[in-house]
Amino acid sequence: MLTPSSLARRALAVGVGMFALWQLFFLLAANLMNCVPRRPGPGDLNPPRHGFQEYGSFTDVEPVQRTADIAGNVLDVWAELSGQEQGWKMFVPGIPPYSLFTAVEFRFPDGEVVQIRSEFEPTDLRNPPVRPPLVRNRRYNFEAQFTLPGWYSCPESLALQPVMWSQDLPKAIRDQHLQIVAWMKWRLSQYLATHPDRCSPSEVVLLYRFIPSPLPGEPHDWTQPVTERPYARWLPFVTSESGYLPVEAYDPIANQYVRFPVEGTR
Amino acid sequence: MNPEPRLVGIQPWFPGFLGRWGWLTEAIPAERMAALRIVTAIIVIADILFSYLPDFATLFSPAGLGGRDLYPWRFQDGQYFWSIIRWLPDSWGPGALMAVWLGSAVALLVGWRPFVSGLVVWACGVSVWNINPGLHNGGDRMRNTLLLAVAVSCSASVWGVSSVRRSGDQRPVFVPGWPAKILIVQLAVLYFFGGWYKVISPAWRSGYVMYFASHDLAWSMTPSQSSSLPVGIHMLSAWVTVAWELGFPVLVMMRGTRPATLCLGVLFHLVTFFTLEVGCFALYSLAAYVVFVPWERYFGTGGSEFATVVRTPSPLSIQK
Repeated sequence: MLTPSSLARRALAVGVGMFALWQLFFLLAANLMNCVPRRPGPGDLNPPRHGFQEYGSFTDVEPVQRTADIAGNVLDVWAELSGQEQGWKMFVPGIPPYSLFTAVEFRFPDGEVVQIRSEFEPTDLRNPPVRPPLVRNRRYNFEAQFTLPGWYSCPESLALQPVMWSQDLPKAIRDQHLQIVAWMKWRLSQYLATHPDRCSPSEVVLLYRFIPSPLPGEPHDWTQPVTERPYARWLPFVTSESGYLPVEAYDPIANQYVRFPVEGTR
Repeated sequence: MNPEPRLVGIQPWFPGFLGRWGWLTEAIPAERMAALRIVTAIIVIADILFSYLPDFATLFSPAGLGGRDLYPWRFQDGQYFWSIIRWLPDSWGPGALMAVWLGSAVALLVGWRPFVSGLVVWACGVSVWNINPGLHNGGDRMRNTLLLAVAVSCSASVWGVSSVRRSGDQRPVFVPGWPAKILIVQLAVLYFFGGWYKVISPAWRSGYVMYFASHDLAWSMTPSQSSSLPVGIHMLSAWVTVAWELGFPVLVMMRGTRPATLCLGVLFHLVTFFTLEVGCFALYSLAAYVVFVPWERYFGTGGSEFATVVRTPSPLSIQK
């Protein structure tokens, strides 16, 4: 006869076994599910959760598609609760033949323009120094979230896919407007701390700086002309009462800034 | 003749044929999970001390690059992300969490209440990840899986203040092997799907990806040194990476190819740690390799010969 303690022990054993099986199943299924086009839920669209999931439909058979959507949602719940989001696409689809850095430009009411480059951009492009691992990686990751959306947006790609870039870059900026403002404010506070005599700028521009890499067979330096292009602009004096976000996106096809209404933006 | 091994921990029950599947049910020497616990804790402590704390005020302050409202959509209805930092005041919450994180990582390192301390380390890691995902990369997602596995793995049965050997029992100690299998599956899917996305990319198939990675001044931490390598070496490294990633799930399961596969993985992660801005991704991935090393042969009580024969007993024969 089973005692209460042995019953509890058996229940624990069953629970541990179920947890182990779920974890094993989850890791396989979540990675497979990333490849199965799913219809996004409201929370997936604005802004998108991550760049690993294929969105769309893979079949016209509604029950099959709905089953996949539900299965994906269940896997998402555990991924979010346990911090185990899956998706592994390092350096995919490839690395472009240039380095992309950010810079901020402070534009003051008196017309002066001050540019502050990324702390990760080497000043000596003939002999860039070694960086130690780990120590500034968190700041690097934070900055990289602004270069990743436009990593492949070189002039050649803009010419090939103008509609896509004209839509995708502004959308990325709208989705990241809070982080972009935080980052530009932080850069500005650093600047003002060392220049206490300066007033606040009337606008702060986040720039992309494309530094061409030497091609195979060329000298190993990075001295070809650098290309710059605005990515986003922060207007510090614009408040939400204006009905627009204080961040505007630069549309590199139309060569103009795009405003975003506050309404409908999270 | 070796003494009977001692099985420690809750032996899981698996339904049907899964309960007879040796790969899933076998127990493993406790030294392997203890080594995993120690290495993981050391890396978490290094992560806290060298990547978070030097920039703490910047990374977690609303006036810097942090704050509870920087990624508000993660915490809206319909999402299941969570962070303890959101439940604490801005003034001292992040600092308190970081202190608890460091303290629990030290507790994990010495093996003090590893289930609780492991879960606390995991909860703090997930909290930090969720409150500011912009600071993180795939290595931190690997960290979360790693910590969850360590917490549930009876990892302090040996080599810790909670060790069963402290009572004088010198028998070989075994623990359930399924947490190690979770990590092996995590590594396998990480590499395989990473390799899959690479192999369908023309840039990777051409082999020039690693050339341009090493010449990318943002991603490469040693651009001058890496760029001096012949183009052929870069191309070869790209092709070997893709082949190794795609083949990992099979190669690591076969006894004959396992050592070379794992050695290549260690080399891959060490090289990327020192040459590319991958942060802790390399370290947390390497930590998972620890379960493959037969530590019990070098530091245990000679129980490794049981590793392939000890099977999970009935749940009612649990010894601890």
